Amino acid sequence: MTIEIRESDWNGDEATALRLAMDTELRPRYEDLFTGAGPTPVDTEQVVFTLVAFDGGTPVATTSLKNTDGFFEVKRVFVAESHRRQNLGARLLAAVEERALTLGITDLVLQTGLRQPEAIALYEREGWVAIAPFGPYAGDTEISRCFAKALAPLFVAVELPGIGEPTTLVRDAVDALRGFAAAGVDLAIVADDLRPAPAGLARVDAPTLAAFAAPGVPAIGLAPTIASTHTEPFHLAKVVQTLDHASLGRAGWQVAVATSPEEAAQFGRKSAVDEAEAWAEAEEAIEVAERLWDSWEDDAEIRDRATGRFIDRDRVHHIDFEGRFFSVKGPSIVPRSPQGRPPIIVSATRGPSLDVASRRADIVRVAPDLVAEARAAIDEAGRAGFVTVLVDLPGASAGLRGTLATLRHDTGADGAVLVFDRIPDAAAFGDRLAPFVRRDRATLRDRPTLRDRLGLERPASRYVRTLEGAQL
Amino acid sequence: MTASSRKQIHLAAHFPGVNNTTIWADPASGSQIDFSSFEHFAATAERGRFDFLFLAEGLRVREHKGEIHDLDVVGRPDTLTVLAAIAAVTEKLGLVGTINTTFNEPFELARQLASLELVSGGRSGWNIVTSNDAFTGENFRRGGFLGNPDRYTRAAEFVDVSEALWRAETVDHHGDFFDIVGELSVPVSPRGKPVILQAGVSDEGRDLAARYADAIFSPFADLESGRTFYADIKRRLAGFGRGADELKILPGASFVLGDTEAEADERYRYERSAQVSGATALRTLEAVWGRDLSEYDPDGPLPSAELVVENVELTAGRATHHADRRGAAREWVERAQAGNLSIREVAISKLTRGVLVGTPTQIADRIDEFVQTEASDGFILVPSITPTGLDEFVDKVIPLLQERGAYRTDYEGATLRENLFA
Repeated sequence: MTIEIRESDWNGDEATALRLAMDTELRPRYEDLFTGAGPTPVDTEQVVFTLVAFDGGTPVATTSLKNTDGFFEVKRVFVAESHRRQNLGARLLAAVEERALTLGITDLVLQTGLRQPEAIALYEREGWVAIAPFGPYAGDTEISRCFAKALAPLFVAVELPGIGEPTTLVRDAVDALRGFAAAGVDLAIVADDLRPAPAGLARVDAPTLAAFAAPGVPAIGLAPTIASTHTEPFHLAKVVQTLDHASLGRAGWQVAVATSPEEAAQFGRKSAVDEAEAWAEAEEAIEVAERLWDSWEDDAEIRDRATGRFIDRDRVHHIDFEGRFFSVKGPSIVPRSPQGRPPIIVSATRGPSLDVASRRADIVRVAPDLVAEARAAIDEAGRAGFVTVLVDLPGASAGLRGTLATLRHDTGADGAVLVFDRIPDAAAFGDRLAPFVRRDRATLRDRPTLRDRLGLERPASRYVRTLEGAQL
Repeated sequence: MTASSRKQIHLAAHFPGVNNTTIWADPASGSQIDFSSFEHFAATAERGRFDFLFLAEGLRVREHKGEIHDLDVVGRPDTLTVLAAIAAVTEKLGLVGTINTTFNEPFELARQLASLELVSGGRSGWNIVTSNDAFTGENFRRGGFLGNPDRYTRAAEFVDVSEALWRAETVDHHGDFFDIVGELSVPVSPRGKPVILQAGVSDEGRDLAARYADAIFSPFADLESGRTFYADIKRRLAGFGRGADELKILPGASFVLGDTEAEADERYRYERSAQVSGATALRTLEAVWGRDLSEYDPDGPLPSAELVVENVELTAGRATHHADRRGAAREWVERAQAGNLSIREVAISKLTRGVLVGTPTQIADRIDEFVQTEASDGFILVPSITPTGLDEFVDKVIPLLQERGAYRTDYEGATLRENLFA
């Protein structure tokens, strides 16, 4: 049997005939539920494409993709009875996916009915994830069975609390990180808070925990939370660089601020500042850190025995930063790290944090209803295409798979941060996240950096001079 | 003396630093920054049953004549971050880092150290240093620097606050230097707190050590000065109500091994010339003379001591400073004249200190003699090659120390404190 799948026309004879056969076959299954004549007519303007499979000259299967209120919906999947049990349904779906991707469509949905178990089985087998009835089917939990499939992986991050049972905190956290790494999670953010832990619980310094995890937990990005309000930018810059060296290029920095009087009192160096002031300072700290990360050019170490020089001093630079909050001379004490500049993560609400995030962050974290606003701010900062926008989701939520399955459509985000307020057992997340994480596991052996996972190039140092002497 | 009653030697492994002791031009020299180097070095130290791995700290890249110093190994990781990563690849080895009290805040540092103590299962240590260095201060918002007496007072207050936080107390401290209200929430091991080291040897430094420290990183690596220092510190301990066994004295030393004495001597000469190139010798001289000497031939005679420019500090970012330059220069010139030495030869002789040279047996004898005759409780050894320089010592010297019953064959305890005071 040679099957050829061709693009066709929704109103063409072949597709129409096949859909008629489908209606004829299915009508009896739902007779007691519907009084009407059959499925609602389709507005052909909304059809993106129709595929028909031919066996020789005979049309034997069809399906279409339709834009339904912004959802890309796979419609009317039908294989003629003569050609069932030959994997044709799966081939048809694969063809839809391939064609959709060439059109830049990454997220598909479909609806079927409770009395089509063979269809439901096909979708589950082909990696479709059950979701709540969407768009026109919303609310119909009686008959509709809806599915979604992400054709491109989401960027999946987790945020672990730096808090836990005093005696098992470290072991639990490292176990969880290992589990999430195995589940294909791209990034683990380690939360931190300088304030006292709730009674009976303990904390650990986030960079210390991340560094301790780095050698033994493979593949996953590791981003400790460090507040810039009380920590010296010179210190935090070298901490993140060192984590980048120890993790072979998997470090990031989640920038935070510490505005409470309690935190200020623990340092006793300055009074508590308001959010606007703290974020203004954070933005300076990011600038200082990035300059320090660039202060050694990649090829600064020359080990030139002829002249006795270990480094080329022209490739190690003072950063000479003078701002409102800091002045830092530089260079860093740490040579340039594997990623050059480890990614910056900012969790933003409205206001100053979003301003700083849009101008400075490589990853912007927001609540689901803030994505559009974040994208607009990023556009305005001229950084569209360089920033990954993630939405916070409760990691322990039972409906996580369904939420992720339509996340890009529903929120416009590139992925999610699964937030945990207790260190979770990560074992269950392998299955839960499989449809959404990178499928190119084989290439993970190449040890991608966190920047690789974000699709970011490794940047040249800003201090590199071209042959003409001009700075890049 | 029977094996069981023999005083036990304690050894620490100093990761080769960013100075001319570390030979980078040797073919065996590896990366000073790749984590694999730290992993290798730590594995060797643990195989040799060393008490701890030791890391120095620098918070500003060294400069000479206003330019970044380019002749020595430079570039290192953040101390506590890399120690936390090393904790993941070791089981018993102590992890001690130098951290400056001048450019850190007590709450933050105490929290980081408690976290290292937690992740490492009680193997952390802190070598307290203070600084009066405005050059380094330019990397910090605090800026500025503290005069000598004040920096020790501040360090003492810093340690007091840290220890209170480690006791899991809610601290409400209002002193001359710090006003701190808070608590750590990081569980400190029930078996103790981070081990404290101290390296200063001024009068204030010695008192700070006698009051707080569990070990001293001492510069006295010859028998005579070692014994004097040892006696002085043990005497001061009593003044703070502490027993003589409550503080270990560990001089820093490098080592050069050979199968025969002649081979060791030859290798020592090679290492010294590799450590002090002509360019390094001239820079060393410039630091003393306070002026540019780049026109001089390093293999020729020294410039006159009369050329010294007082009050000019050409080298910034190193602990070594010369109080009396002209006097120092005269001493160098005299030494050169007496031995008919070139600039490079005299620099080699001046830069040499604390080196154990000999066959494995000779070095084992030497270390044992230090410990049995109360010149030290052991050594902090710094190899000249990163990261493999310690391998030979562990393979050849450690078994000899074990044979004579002066050194552990396995770790006594799980924590650094347990091993240091076993």
